[in-house]
Amino acid sequence: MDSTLFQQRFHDIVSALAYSLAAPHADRPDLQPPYNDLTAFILRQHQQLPDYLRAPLLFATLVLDVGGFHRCPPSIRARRIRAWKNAPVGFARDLIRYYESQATLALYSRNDPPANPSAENRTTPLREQWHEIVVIGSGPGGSITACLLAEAGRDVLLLEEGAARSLESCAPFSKDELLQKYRHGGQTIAFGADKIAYVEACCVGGGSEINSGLYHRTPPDILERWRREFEVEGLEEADLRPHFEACEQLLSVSFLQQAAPPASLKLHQGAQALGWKSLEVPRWFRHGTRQSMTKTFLARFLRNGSTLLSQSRVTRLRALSSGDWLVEAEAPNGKLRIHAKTVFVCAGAIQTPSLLLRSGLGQNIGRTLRLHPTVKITARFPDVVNSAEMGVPVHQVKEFAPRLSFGCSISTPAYLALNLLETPSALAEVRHHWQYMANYYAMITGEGHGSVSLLPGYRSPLVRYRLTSNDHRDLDDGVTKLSEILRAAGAIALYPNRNLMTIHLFSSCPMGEAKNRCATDSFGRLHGFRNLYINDASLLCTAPGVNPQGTIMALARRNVMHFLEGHS
Amino acid sequence: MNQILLTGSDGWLGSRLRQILADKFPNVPLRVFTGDLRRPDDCARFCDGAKGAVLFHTAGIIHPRRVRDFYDINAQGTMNLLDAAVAGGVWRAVIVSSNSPCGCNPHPDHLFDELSPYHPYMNYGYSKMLMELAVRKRQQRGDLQTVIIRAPWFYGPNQPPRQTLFFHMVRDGKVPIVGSGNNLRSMAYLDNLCDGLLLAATVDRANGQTYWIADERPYSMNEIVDTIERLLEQEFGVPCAHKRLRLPNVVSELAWLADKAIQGIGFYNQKIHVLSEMNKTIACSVAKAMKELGYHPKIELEEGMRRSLRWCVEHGISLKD
Repeated sequence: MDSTLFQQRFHDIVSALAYSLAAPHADRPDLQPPYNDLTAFILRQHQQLPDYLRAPLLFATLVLDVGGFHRCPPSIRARRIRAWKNAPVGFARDLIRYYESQATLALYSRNDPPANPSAENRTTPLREQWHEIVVIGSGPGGSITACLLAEAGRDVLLLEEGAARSLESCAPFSKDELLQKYRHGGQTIAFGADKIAYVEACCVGGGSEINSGLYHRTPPDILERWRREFEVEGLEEADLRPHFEACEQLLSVSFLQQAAPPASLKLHQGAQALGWKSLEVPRWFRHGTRQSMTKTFLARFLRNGSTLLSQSRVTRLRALSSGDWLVEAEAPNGKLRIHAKTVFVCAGAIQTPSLLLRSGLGQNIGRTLRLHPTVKITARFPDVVNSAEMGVPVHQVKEFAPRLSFGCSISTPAYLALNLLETPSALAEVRHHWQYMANYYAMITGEGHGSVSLLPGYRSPLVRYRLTSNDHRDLDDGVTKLSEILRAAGAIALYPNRNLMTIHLFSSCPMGEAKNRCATDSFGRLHGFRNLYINDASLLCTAPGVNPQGTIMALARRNVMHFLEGHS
Repeated sequence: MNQILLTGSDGWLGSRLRQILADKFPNVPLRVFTGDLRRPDDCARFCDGAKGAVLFHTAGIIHPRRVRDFYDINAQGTMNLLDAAVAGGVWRAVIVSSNSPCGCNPHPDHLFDELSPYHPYMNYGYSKMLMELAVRKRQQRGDLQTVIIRAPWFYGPNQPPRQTLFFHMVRDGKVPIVGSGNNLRSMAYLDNLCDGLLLAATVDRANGQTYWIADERPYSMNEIVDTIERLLEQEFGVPCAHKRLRLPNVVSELAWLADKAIQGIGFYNQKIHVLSEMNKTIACSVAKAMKELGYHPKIELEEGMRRSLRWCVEHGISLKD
């Protein structure tokens, strides 16, 4: 069999799986066959997987088909799938779970508003360029860095691996958003005894383009801990306050003008009934629309006349004998070589250490990744709490912070269905009563940590994470307490999902003067380097226990100011 | 639509479409193609001065003697025709394709739709795929408007001898049922298909699109044969043998190998080719055409077969011997 035959067979098996996995959902007219859209989505997602997973998944799928699974009549296929789901072999279980989640996501996203397919205008850049400063990554860290440097009169080039799309190019939390703006189509996993699904953005504007924009300042006790354990200088509350205030004003961080979504209020009411502290978290919102980097700092950066190269993936940094840097990148029209006096790496908690490791630079890189492990519960209420225009839930229960936080999460039919894959009876409720249901999360700060490392011959970094026994206890406690809140709020059914996930990643290159554990100095300069900086979530010394973007932005601003003072 | 151009007007589909067009648009001039699609001059003459016209391209070859004819007529012939149509100023071309560019369904409950990738079945399918790609290329270049209609196995009036032979085989109990006979086949009653073609010619948003046009649901091989048998006996007074030529799946696989080998050396055998397809599922969904074109197939298998049989009787084609 040559590779096209493999591909053909793979298509046929995926199609058979998609039809079988979708069939139980066909009791609603818009969820009926044909399911070729599901097959197309799954195949596209397969292409987007981290490269070291792509071939194994393909071959595992071909193995699953030994004996001609895909040619069997639907009834026999359904029986086999049931057997695989309960298989003693983890591989068959995980594989079916993977296909089931992709098929379910595609199926329940059929009614998503259509995405704007327009491609970006992209000029062909010069192959070889010279700049004073190169900033790698255009998320909140990189955008603020590039914008402030450019406005200080520096010659800055901003490189971004993802494509340039507007905030409105697709509906928030839609299937198209996964395809357009997420790295690997959202299919990223931290491996370990407990796998943790995580997401990263891959687009101009980074995480700010895909998140809810909930804003917190860094809790004072966290700053105190960073000063003490990591010997971070210039990190008193008073040092950071002007940076918080500046970012809050620029992003117009504000409270909701209208009533909060009912699902969000339910959480608030439940907590209040128990006498637990619950609050509305402010968001970046302006004139009723969500804000993001493309709307704020990036717009300013471009207005300043500076250059942003999207779809340009930096593959390596090389130190030149002159002391300058050579930034090697891949772009759609070929390779780029960019010379820079100073480089800021702002590619996020996974990609920043990955680039530095690949370039053989720095110490304490990628060894202390931290994240906020999170579990979800789907709740069913007697009254309507959800709608197609639900908007972003804003309440968080902070009674047990920083150890535990609770909130309401994305509750589109697709995300409800994904959370209920292991509870088929509840899936039927999603189809017919999803307006009465919402997803909630329990998030722990945790004390475990993970790593980012490279696999020889592969592009995608391997992410691993290890939970401690305390983490497990906190997660159990989180589920118990969240259930209490939801019951107090009047929920008539609760469906916990024990699969771990996170949307907050940081601490892979911590800052501080404690050289035995820190990658950079107190202001993001790599130890041992004169002109190489990190300025993103990687710098956070430990998990902040709150949405980290406010911390990332304030630190980024502080570090750029420090850089400008020291060099002007 | 100021003028209609039609190729394949002597064929099964083309002759029926011609009757329907003459009925529905008695005042629109209708020009039929005479000549050879392989000759660009014939095509140019046909399309000369056809500014603003709608072209229905129903000509094609399905059971040739030589494999070469597939490519010369279905692929190159269509390219010749389209180039002439562009030069003549044709507004929209409606091109009849087939299920064969997509091959057979990968599993028994699968339905083809417009998202299905190409996986052409042998040389016929490949030639129709090349045709579709050429059509799409010209549309994307902005040369003219096009609509591709994929139709499966047809039935209905004006049927050729091969379809009458099929009825005789049902009567004599000689229809090969390979495997269980539960495999699904989409069929297109000719007038349903003509409805689809007319919609493709007139609906605005159809430009640049591909649509599957067939009866609303696919039928199992058993249902098709049982229906014909029942009608023959109960409504046309033709005694039937009530038998099936039941063959194991391996027969179709062997026929497939033989077909492949024969086509490999450039020849073509209709019976072997059809036998190779007997146990295959070839089923499609017409949902997109229903949604976007407003296509509503009116005739179902039983009524369609009844009308086909009546047509045979009316045209002196004996069903009895």
